[in-house]
Amino acid sequence: MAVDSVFRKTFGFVSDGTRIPIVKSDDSADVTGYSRLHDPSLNKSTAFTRAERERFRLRGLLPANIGTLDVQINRVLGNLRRKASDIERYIFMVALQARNERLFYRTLIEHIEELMPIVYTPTVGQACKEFAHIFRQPRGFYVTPDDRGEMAKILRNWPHADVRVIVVTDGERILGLGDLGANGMGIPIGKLALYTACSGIPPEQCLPVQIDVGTENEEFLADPLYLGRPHKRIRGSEYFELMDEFLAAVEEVFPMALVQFEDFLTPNAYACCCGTATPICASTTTSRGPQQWPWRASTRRHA
Amino acid sequence: MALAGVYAATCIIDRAFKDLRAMFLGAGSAATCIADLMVEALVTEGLNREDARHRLWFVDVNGLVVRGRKDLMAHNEPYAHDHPPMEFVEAISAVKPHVLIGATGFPGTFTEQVIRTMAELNERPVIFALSNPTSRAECTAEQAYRWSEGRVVFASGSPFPRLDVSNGATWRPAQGNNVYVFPGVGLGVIGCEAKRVTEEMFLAAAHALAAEVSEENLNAGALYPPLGQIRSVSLAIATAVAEEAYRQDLAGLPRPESIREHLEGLMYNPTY
Repeated sequence: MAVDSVFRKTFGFVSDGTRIPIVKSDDSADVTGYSRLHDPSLNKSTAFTRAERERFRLRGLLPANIGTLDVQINRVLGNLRRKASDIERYIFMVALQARNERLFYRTLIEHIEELMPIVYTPTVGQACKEFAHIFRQPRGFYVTPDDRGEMAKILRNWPHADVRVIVVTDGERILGLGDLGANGMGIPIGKLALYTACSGIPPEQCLPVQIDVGTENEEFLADPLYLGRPHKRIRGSEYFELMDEFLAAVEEVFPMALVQFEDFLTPNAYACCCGTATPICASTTTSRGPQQWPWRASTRRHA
Repeated sequence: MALAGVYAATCIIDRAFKDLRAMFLGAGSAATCIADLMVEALVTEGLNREDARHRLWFVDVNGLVVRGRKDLMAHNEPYAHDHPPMEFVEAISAVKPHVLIGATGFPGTFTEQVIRTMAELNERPVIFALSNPTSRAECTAEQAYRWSEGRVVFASGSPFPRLDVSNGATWRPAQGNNVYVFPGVGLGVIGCEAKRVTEEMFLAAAHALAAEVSEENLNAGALYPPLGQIRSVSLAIATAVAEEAYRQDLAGLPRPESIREHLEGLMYNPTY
């Protein structure tokens, strides 16, 4: 019997970097009112029951008719299907993920054939190209050369401490689209949504990471809306030192994490993945064009 | 992913996996990775590594990859066999592959002549056009179908639409989407806290995926199970991967009584 999301125990960090257990539960009244409606892992929107509306101080904040998850899924599908293009559907799904996590994943699971091409390939390719223009709010974790020396510290800014799967890209070869710089973030986000939907990796155990070392994409460099570092890529030892520090910090902060490299230039992925003191990766290929798929599982395990 | 498709294809073409010959168009890292995994798979079927490699042939822009060519990269060397150099179609006729795998990134590289040659040599030619997106596939599903008079066993990297074929039937081209594999591998690895991810785990995943393809799926030409079954497919793959981790003594958690139930219990199942 699968565990209901609302009873899972997870961990967070407090300001000095210590791990603390967090139990997010539908039963807990720690988060009330508007905060509860704006917490994607707790929000049920119109499906909050009468008793919950009373208990969580939601009365007056929601329309009267109490819905169910199924009704909400139908509303989502109706909204999606009336949209004119897949990129609009992508934008809608991203917003839903930020609004109501359970509704997002339940809809994705139950309509995977229809929605996978929206949240992942091929639509995610277009979404990456237009990432800076369709951007609504940040998601995932960005690492830049400015973070050298402080990587472990900033990783603890991530709200969840029990990260198990990291998908990381440096955006240099996104799908068949070439160097998309920090716009590549769409790939780790989309891929991890599929991890959660397809094999049930809990969302708070997933961490999408963009290593933003610049881009050679002239169009982006000239675009005032571009969100990444508006510089050419750092290369060579500077690049590899940054990657090494990132991976070392992951081992320290998220020792249970499996790291999947996605859409790097192949030699860089292999150098980062296997070039460390303990070569701990195996590789296979995605079935996508000229591309490889290195993995790395941490060797250090916390008690 | 591709390996699982090849496993499934062997059931359709009624030929043992260990007897297969395969040819790759594109000698880059993607094709090489598939080949490396196929070699591991052939070795587990009892072939020695050298014989296993000899089952696999590569063709790149300069023709058949053969020993003595000066333009090869290191990863091509194990697959550069003693053979006269020749161009692609000629090489198909000479090598007589059962399976043709495209990972070139270039559309149109599986020409009519290529498909027809494969179809002359094989009752059921197996053609994988893996480059993404659809616009870059080596050939379209429809071309593969038409040029082989409907005999092709086909999979692509990106989905092609269903095809209305004669006598009112529809043909549904298989998509070798890696989403069939990576979530299950991830769940298997983290669910037993494996210390490393190994080739053997991917082999186990490919076998588990192929085992999820039903007789009914195969009869309809599908090499992969329906996407709607992805949660149970992922659980089966995760179970196989974790089993392998325990077999290789790489698991960090004590072995649970039932690996499958343990993993199923970890799965996020969003409800209110």
